[in-house]
Amino acid sequence: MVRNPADNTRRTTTEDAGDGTISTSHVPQPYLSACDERSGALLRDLRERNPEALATVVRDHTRDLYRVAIGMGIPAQDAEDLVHDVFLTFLQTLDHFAGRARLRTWLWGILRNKIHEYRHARGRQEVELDNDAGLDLMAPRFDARGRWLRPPADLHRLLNSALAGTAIQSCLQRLPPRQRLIFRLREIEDLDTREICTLLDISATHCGVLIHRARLRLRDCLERAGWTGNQS
Amino acid sequence: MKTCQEIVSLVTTESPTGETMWTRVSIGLHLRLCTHCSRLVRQLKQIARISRATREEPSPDLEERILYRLLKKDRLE
Repeated sequence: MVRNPADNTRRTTTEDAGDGTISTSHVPQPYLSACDERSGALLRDLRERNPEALATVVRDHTRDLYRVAIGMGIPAQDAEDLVHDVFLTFLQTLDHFAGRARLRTWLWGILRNKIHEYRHARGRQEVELDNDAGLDLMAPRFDARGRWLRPPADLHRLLNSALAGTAIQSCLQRLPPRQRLIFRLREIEDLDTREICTLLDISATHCGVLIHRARLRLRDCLERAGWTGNQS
Repeated sequence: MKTCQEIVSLVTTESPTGETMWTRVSIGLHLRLCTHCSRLVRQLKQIARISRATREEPSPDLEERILYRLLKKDRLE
């Protein structure tokens, strides 16, 4: 069964919310400008096996589907086949797609099932719950009045070195699996938080907490690596 | 007035409803005045930026390859 998440927003950017927050803003998404499923014309053309219609859908959605697959831990050599299979299933189940859901949502639902099947076929576990649930990594850094006891160390030397990427990847591997997954989807693959929640089948609140933990734990790992300096 | 601990929690956790205007103003003001919190936020943004730069991009003809396979299969069936 294909899930049908009710998401109608798209992420803008992580980098600058204008007030220093890391959180992203969401804007209503006037999605699918090129393939307007609402008109039904695209759907009709797809059902008639019109190659141009199929090309429009493939060109509009392949890159995002591929990035999600990679973000979900599918090796690059298998991700292309998986995305191909998503479109194949989409074409085979077109009659069930009434056009009420967004095409993107429908495709992502198929992808989610494909990833599940992929893991199952290879005897891989789904990404398990983190073992540090409830642990507040930052709590020991503050006093009872919420003031810094142990302020963040300067990471200027590391973050401006050529080894920064390698150090981050190394620390990323040490994160609990679900935090690692969510960091990859959010910060590396640049996906919308709500779409991540749907993919991982967790609540938006839980998703926010996991992102919070992943960001701080990764930073903490870099700090503990000893690359601190005093230039920033 | 929010504490540093509250500010760190607010800027790193993605609230499903987003922050209120007052909270956003409060965060912005705090970060202008607090060197420790602003350093942390700056570092987290930098870590995110570097992480994204390590992303492996798919090959430029990925879409065309997938399309070719789909159309080829369609013709065979």
